[in-house]
Amino acid sequence: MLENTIVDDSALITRQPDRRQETEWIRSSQKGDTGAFNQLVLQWEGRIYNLSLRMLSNPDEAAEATQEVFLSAFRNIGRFRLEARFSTWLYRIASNRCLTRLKQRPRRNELTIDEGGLAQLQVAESQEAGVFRREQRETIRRALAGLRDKQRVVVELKIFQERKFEEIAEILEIPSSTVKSRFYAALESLKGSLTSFAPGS
Amino acid sequence: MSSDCEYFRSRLAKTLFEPTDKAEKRALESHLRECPDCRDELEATRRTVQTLKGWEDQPVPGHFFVYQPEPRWGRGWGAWGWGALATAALVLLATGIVLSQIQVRIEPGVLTIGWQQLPAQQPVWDPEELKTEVMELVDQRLQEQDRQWQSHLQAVSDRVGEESSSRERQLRGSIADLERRQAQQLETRSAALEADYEENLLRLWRVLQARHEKDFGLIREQLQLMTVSDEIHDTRNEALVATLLQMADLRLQD
Repeated sequence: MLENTIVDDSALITRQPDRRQETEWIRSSQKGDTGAFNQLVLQWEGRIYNLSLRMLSNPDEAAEATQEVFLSAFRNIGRFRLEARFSTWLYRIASNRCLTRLKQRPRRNELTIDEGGLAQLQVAESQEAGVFRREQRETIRRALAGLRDKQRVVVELKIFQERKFEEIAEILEIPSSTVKSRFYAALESLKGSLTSFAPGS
Repeated sequence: MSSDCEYFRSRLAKTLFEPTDKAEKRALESHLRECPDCRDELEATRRTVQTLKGWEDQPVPGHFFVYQPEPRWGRGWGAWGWGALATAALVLLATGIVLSQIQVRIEPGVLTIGWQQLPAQQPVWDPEELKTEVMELVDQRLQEQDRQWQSHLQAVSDRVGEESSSRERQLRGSIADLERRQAQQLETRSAALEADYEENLLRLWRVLQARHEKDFGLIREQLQLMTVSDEIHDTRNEALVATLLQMADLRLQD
């Protein structure tokens, strides 16, 4: 009964870029090589953009945030220690950027921005294939929007970025126990808002 | 909900995300077999996670490449900032000094830029004015030359005047001197002559007498020759000759 657990760290390995290659690019970037840094951008832009998108619920704002994350990373790459994990460092920048943006955002406008933003995403999809996904995404978006920012970032890093609790603790610079409690509380909340939507039902 | 359920509920989600030790796993499995509510609960959590994972990643709207590093001093007043500020101040100061020394003059058709002091302004070229100016200059030059000549001639004439007057004085002196000397000579001579007067008068007389005798003798001789040769026919000539002869005789008798 418990065979289908979702502890699937093996899946993470395939999504990681070649570690040695990544180290090379970082080293060159630290010497000011923008070409090497842009290789890192290519490796990471999809993940960082989607993290921003789910955190901010607005494609334009997500794009802006992503650009800011990479600019900040390039400016500070000299301070990055090679023995540390690049993903941890980059996710920290991205998480902080999104949380800062959310904090600065006027609370009342949130919903209008969200709906306008999501409408843009729908344009790209064909109608027949898109109906279900659109519905699913909208449900997820609403469920995620219902979480507190601190919970949402943990869910993002655990569910979508598939980070271990220890790494998330490192990224957010909080104790691992805090990460777990926030995550399970968020999951409980999401379960309440997503039970009506069952995949395949 | 039994106390067992309460205990296991708090651990259900954990089993999906964290490794569980064997004893706990067994206990949970045995409880799930007996409790459909907890089974549903676990299933709901699993479905929730699956639903969330159903969100497919969106493609990026465009690449987020980084092109230029931002200038370092833009991030605050570090050593770079102050250095740049000092350099800028120096450049401004130098520019100010240079600009204060540069003079610019704009005339129609001519832009003159110079260091410190500009040369005198170039006059606008007007042939008529230039001609007048040249003529004035020539006049001035001629007048100047005239004045020079005048003064030169004045000087020459003054010199000549001085010279002539001095010559005159010289001549007058010389003449006076000569006159004086002549007077002296004459006085001496006259004295000498006075002294020898008698003797000289006799000598002179004798000389004159001798000469007259000779002369009249020749005349008489000539006349006699003429008379003899009958060359004299005219009575008037005869009378003249006779008169001359008489005068000669009378003279000889004196």
